[in-house]
Amino acid sequence: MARYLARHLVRARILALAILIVALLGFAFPMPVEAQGIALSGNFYRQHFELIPGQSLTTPDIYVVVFNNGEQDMRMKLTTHTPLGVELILPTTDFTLPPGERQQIEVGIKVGLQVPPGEYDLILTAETFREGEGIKLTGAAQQQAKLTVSAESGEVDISTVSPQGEPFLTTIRLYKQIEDQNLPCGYSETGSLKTKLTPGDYLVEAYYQGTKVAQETFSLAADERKAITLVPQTIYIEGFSVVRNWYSETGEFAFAKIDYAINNMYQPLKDVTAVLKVSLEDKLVDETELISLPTLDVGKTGGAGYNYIPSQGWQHGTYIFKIELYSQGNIYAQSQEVQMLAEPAKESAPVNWLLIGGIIAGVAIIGVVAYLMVRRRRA
Amino acid sequence: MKGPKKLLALIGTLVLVGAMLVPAAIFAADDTVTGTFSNNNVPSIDYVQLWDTGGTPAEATSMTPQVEYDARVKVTDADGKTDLTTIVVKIWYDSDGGTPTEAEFNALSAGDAQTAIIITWTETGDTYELTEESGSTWSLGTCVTPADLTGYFQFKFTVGKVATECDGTAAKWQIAAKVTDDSSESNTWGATSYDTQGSAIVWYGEITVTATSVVWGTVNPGMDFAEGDPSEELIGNINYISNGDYDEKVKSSTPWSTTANLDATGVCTNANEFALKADDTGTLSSAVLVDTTGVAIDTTGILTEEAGDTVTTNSLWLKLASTFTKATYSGTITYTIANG
Repeated sequence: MARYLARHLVRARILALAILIVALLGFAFPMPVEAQGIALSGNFYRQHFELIPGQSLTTPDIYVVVFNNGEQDMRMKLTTHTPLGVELILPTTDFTLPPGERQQIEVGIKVGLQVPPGEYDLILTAETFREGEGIKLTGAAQQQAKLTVSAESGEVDISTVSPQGEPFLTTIRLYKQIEDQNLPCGYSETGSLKTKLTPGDYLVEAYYQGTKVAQETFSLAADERKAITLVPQTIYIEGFSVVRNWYSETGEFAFAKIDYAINNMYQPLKDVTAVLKVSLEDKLVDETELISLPTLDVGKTGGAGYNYIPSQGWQHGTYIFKIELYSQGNIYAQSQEVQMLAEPAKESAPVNWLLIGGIIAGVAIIGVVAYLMVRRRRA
Repeated sequence: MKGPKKLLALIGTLVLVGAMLVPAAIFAADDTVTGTFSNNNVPSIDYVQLWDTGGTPAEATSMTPQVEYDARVKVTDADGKTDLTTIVVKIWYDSDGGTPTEAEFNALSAGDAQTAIIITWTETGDTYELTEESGSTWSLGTCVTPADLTGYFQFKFTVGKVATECDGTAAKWQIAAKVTDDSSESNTWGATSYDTQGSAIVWYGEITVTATSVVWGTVNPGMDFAEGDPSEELIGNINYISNGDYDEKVKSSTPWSTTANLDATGVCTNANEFALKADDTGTLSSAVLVDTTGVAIDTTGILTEEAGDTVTTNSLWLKLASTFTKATYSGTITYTIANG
């Protein structure tokens, strides 16, 4: 019995020692691994904000995108590091992102009235938040942008109007042009934008249903006030093609088949005329009305299948075709130019030797048959 | 006239009539021939445009890695959509920018995670195929084929993580297309064959910190920075993925457990102050003092492969003030990837 107890006592000591070793190793080595892949992208880092004290800027054109490329939910925290009086405006700073998901976050900026002119760094960090005790390790991704606060400014008043002079609802995007880069500095979805800007060169674009319909560049000096009026192009001539056709019997050039479609994106347009302009060797040879409509509806209006033959007949050379679209006498759109090489029209039909041979052979056969019949009757 | 003579007269008349028909047939006027034909019509491209794919899509001049975009291609062919055989869209990084040339387009034949993809639409079966580097994070979206050529093709794709970053001024991503019909004729290369604006790609940075915690165990007040235990702890692997230049940074929260304060100067003269040093080569002599906003431990990171760059030699060194309250402390040390 004593021997049995002694043996088990030894076993128990060995087991206790093993447990102790395992416990010690638990402190010596890192905790169980947890793969996490936090990522950050977006164009915030590309910005060099130029603002005046008291000014703010919010635009969806400036953003960061946070990704959870890990395998578990990630609690994200967005932090900023800015100079005193400057604030990065974020719609959210604390959120949970499921695995494989991303979130795009608009980044705005507000410069307080007391911020002195100068150059500043702006830092935005997305980091994962880890629960638990002890000294935790975690990952983060960061972008850094620049801010120049300037005391000088001008003012611009941008508006979009239709060709008829009516207010036109577009999305306006305003960029400052610095070293060939366009840096967002204004945004509006109302078709108009009035803002103060630091002196410099600017690009303004107007979008309608996602398509850029107007743009203009301008310069602004200190204390200058400028009004910019954009007239969007909302009618396009698409699918313009010129197809050569020949006579199948003679091989002669016959006509050019004109296909096109008018795409009206905005609103019905009155008294619309599409004119085909044809030139040969840089000289206008024809102006033909392709279509005339009391009202051009919104959407695509087909104009397929017009067969064009020059009023003077085809000449050898390269013809250039273009369609211009007018409404009440004002030009609204024009197609790109299409070139077409034409063969000269022949004055007489070409000799069809196959046909001639056939006729002669037919006549000869009739003659031979008739001759044989005569001889037979005589015999 | 007798019979044979009548017959001869009839034959003569037939021959004469036949002979008269010859010039009429030979010199027929154009307008007597009504049938016309056209040869194969060469397809053309009206435009190539890059659009984003958000809730309200718009034309785009910049792409974000791991976000889907839409290359819209409008094709014209007087013979109709069924006459087409393929449309090939190529998207590639052009280090010298400018106008994309047909030679550049033709030279591109394979995908590269950092610089190029090819998407091919085939009329037979209406299929879209992505040619990419094996294992890349570029992917194909749900592309859209128009019912006829009044519409446009939508080549949807997600930009890879390591698609080379550029601002679209000097270097840019070119987007161009070529259409071929069943007579093996392709569009003439011109300004409508490509997106005239090209595109930028913004910076992407991803970090994976494998270990979840660092444990110094029980250490004594007054412990200075020193190689090896007990001051030094080796951190597990840290993986960095980026499509451009990046910095590796580290920062610490403070206080730890409300009572231990980080001294970013590393002096630790006051009670309960601690300091940290970090280095990505495991060398104390090149380590930097950790602060609360993020200090760079390496500023030489560049465009990585898809697998990223794994650093296996990150170390942290701990220093404590000579007076320190005995306790188990909690805090956070954060490793950061930042645009370089």
